[in-house]
Amino acid sequence: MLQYVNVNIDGAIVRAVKGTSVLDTAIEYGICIPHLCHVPYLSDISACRLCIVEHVNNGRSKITASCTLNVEEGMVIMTNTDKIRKMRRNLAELLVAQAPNSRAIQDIAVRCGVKQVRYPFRNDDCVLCGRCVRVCTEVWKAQAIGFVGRGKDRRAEYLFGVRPEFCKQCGSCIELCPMTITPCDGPMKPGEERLCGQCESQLIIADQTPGSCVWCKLGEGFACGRYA
Amino acid sequence: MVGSGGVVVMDEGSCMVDVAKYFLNFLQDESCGKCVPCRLGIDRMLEIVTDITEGRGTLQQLDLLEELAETVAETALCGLGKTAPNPVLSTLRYFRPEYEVHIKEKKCPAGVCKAIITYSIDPEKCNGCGVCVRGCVHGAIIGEKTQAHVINTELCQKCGICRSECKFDAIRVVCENEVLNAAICQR
Ligand code: SF4
Ligand code: SF4
Ligand code: SF4
Ligand code: SF4
Ligand code: SF4
Ligand code: FES
Repeated sequence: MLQYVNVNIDGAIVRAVKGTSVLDTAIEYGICIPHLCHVPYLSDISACRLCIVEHVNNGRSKITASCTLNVEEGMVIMTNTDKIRKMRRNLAELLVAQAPNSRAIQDIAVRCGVKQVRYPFRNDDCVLCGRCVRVCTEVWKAQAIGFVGRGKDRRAEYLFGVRPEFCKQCGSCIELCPMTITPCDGPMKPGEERLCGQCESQLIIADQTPGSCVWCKLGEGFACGRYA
Repeated sequence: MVGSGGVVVMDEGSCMVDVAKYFLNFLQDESCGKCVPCRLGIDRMLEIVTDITEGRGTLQQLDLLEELAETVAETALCGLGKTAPNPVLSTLRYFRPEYEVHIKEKKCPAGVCKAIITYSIDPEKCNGCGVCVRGCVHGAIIGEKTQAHVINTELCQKCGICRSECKFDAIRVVCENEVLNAAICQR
């Protein structure tokens, strides 16, 4: 039998299934916590840090990723404080500056309140969210792709640099990759990257109700818990 | 101020911006690269600090640096990432004017940041002994014996060897744009 615990998320006391994460619980109740590396049916690796929340415990609040934080009885969580919004915006800004050539990353940046990118753009083709690696390993049990290198040389790649025979060509890695969703106007040329401001409607929603789900492309494209 | 609990002793010959850059470089090699704040955050902090040491920094970048450092400290996944911004945060807290001088006046008060300093020879002090000529591996110093020597800034790699060789303290470090008014920014 399922066991339940009561959790306070942004002032609402909600009933959560014991053993689930704060992120899953919040999404289930329609509280949007932006997230990138989390996929409902895969393990969580806490890599993108967009899903940060404040966990208030004994009067002290600690910032932590909600995808790897399990619900506990009496927990107090704040998903949308000024501090969280600012940090989340800074993280999303780092991401979109690194990899602007994805509608998914652009959308999530907008969702997180990025209005201006203060770093020179780079044109990277991977944000190391690890979605491809996990779907390949956990769902298809193929282990055809993995992470190689460390630090700023870390990248997701076929294990020996070429597609191995045991790749099942299922296409899941591509389906889940945020970098495969191109900007509306097509890929931006190197040197001409910009913050895409096309989706005015989303900008307005993100502005007026910063805590709510804007049904971003990220979710539609690949399994935000909201769309699943 | 260093993540590992080590203590670093510095004198007025150390440039705090350069110190922050040094630690960021080191930490970038230590980062495993898994989470965004540490992997991209350190990289961008290094980018900004490098701009500042090379005279391209702006005051907006300084605020951005501070904001970014605070974000990384709060949001990184593990202890390494959480402490990685400490060198930036503490040098900013205690030596902010030093950053500002690099930005506003394009000067490195400690004479460390190579891109914004120039080596030159004080003709008053130089007696033409020629020791520096042999010391300079880049062949940047020319001059007749017993005459004041000069440094060819095109060839000079700013290694500082000549300065330590000269027994008459004739070689000085001056900041870009300030070659004539050397006294201001000499160590
Ligand atoms: S297509 Fe190949 S590499 Fe991609 S998820 Fe499937 S098995 Fe793994
Ligand atoms: S290739 Fe795509 S899915 Fe894989 S880690 Fe990079 S951005 Fe994520
Ligand atoms: S904070 Fe820790 S987990 Fe994240 S990239 Fe740095 S070393 Fe890796
Ligand atoms: S070592 Fe000093 S004194 Fe001798 S030539 Fe060089 S600058 Fe002049
Ligand atoms: S600083 Fe180095 S390269 Fe420049 S003149 Fe002196 S010895 Fe030569
Ligand atoms: S979704 Fe939690 S860290 Fe990426």
